[in-house]
Amino acid sequence: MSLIFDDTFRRRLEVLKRIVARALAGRGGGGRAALKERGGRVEFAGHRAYTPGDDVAAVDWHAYARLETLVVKEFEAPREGHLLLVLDRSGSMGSFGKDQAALRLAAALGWLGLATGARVAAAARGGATRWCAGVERFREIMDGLERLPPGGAADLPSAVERAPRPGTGPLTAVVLSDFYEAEPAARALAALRRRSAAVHGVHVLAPAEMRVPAGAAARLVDAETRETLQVELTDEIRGAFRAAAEAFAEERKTLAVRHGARWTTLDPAEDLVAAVERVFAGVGKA
Amino acid sequence: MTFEHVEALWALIGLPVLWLLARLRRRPRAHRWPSLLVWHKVLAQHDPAPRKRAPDPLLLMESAALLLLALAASGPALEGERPELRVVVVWDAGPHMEARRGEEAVRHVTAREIERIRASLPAHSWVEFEERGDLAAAAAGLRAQADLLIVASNRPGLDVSGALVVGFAPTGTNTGIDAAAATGDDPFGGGMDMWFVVRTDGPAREVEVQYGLEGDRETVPVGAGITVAGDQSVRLTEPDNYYGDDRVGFSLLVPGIRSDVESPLMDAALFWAGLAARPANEDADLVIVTTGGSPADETVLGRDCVAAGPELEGVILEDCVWRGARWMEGEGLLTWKGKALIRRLDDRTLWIGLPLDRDWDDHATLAVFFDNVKRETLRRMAGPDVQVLGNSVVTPTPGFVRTAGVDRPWDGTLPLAATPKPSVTPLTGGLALLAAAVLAFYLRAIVRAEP
Repeated sequence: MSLIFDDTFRRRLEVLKRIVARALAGRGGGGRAALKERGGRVEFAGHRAYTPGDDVAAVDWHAYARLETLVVKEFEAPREGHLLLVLDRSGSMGSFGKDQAALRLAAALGWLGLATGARVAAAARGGATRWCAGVERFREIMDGLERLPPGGAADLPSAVERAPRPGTGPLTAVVLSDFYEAEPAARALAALRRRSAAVHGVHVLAPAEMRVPAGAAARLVDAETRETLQVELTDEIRGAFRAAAEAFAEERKTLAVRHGARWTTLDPAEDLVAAVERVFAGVGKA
Repeated sequence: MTFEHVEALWALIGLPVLWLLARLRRRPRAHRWPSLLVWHKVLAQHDPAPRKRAPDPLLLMESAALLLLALAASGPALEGERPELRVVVVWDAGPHMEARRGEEAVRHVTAREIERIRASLPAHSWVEFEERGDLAAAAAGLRAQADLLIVASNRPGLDVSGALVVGFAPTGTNTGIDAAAATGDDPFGGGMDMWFVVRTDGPAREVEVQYGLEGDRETVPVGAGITVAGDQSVRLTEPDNYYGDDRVGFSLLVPGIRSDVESPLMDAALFWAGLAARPANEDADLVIVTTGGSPADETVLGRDCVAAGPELEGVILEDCVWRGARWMEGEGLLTWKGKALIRRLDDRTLWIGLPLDRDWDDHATLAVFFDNVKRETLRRMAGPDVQVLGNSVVTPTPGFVRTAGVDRPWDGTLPLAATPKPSVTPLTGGLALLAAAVLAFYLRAIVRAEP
């Protein structure tokens, strides 16, 4: 895999850090200063009665003026986010450059997750990485992604099962697949939901697989099963396939939404930065 | 239809190759598809039957061009109606066709062979028959008119160039001799008489000698330095009785006569024709012809023959004269009852006739007389070294007489003067033009084809 992670690309991704950070954000406790010491962001979480020993700096004098009672402000450090990248590396993803596009998007998301302080892990049918934190661990994420064995049938539930359990902190799962198998996809999404993950489904679909090939007839070979199908490409078939392909894409979107997942599509030929932005578009906005 | 270069049609083997390549080109292209899930759904609702594809016009033009070029290269031509084959069969009218071959006359055996040849002729053949005695002249005259000239003759030494000669040499003692021959089993059948002149030079040889009708045959060696020349005889009718003389040295067989049947030799024309058709024996110094009858009558006197006077010198004529023979000294002719008994036909041919008449009660006397004539003749011409084998029937050794042309088997070929050929209409030009037109359309279609 040759992911172009040069400085230019990174600078482009930098723009998306805020978006990704907001998407991956969680809630945490502790004083503001203490929290800041850990290098994390602090947030006002509420008031409580002053007890001896509390930090005087935390006393809310404005509230005392109103309430004539000593209260202290409570702050929370956001909980460390977890970004789980679930990849479909089955045979069906090996056509039209879909596998490469999914890997590139996963790598980009992984870098952004690490850059925004989240822990990142990747999982597929054949294996999973451990949770990594810090941008310096990006290479490990890259190597982990490359080691995930391609080919074979898609098995998203197995990938989810192999994924490492996150610690405390919100879990965001991005599932990158072509979702041809509906039932396994549904199970995987449900499993992630049970882990309280915020699920983002990325439907990797090449425009070419949504179109009928040229010619009077075609001999189609299934990339996963090697099944061969010879089809006379009449006008009727062409029209029927277009409609069926659109219906398939809509069905998968409906399935994802039914399982509480956000849904976006990925054209293997589209700009990666735009794809990243679209994955987390609108996430975390008030 | 005929083809001048039929091997060019092997190019047609390219036709199935063209069709196979076209089929391979039109084979549906394979596409690697992520999943056939959607396709199965589509085909479950819409199952198109395999549509019949229209033939590729370029392939049709390629095939047509190849077919036309191959046909043009093969040189086809339409044949017109074959002209008639004119065949002329010339039958030898001479007496030698009466020779016997086994139990059959040569004439009948020859006819059968002619029929076999006629059956093998191409259809539309016209066969004419001519019976002629002068075969060489007849063949020369008819050759120009016939596509195939067949000469039926067993005449030896027949030289009819360009013709198919059909003839069968008679078996028996007189192989190749242009006269009817006695059968091999009965050398005296018909009263054959043969006598040989010997000379002092030539290779030694043995000859078979038979004494009398029922006498034994002996092989007698010819003396050193002696050659044996040929003899000729004319066949007689089948006699009822034989008058034989068993005495050695007097074996001149005189066949019995049937008073109710005339010897065919009484026919002067037949006799002279037979004699005229005899093969030339250039090696012989003297040829003596003996017959059992005397077809010549006194009118022969008018012919230009050398008198037999010298041959009769020293011959005792008293006995012949006593029996009524008349010596016409001036003409050198010995006659009896108006029939010539001895006559010199030319400077080396002597004819001796033996009357077939019961009036001669002692044929031995006449036999002795004629024997004496022969010996005296030989003595005069050959000198004291000549051996006379006497009156005997001798089987000639093979090759003794030329038999060229009539005794070899037919190899099945017909010496046609010129093979009549039907008219042909060549088709090469037209096919080549058609092929060029197809190729022009083909190139035009390729150039205009949309990418």
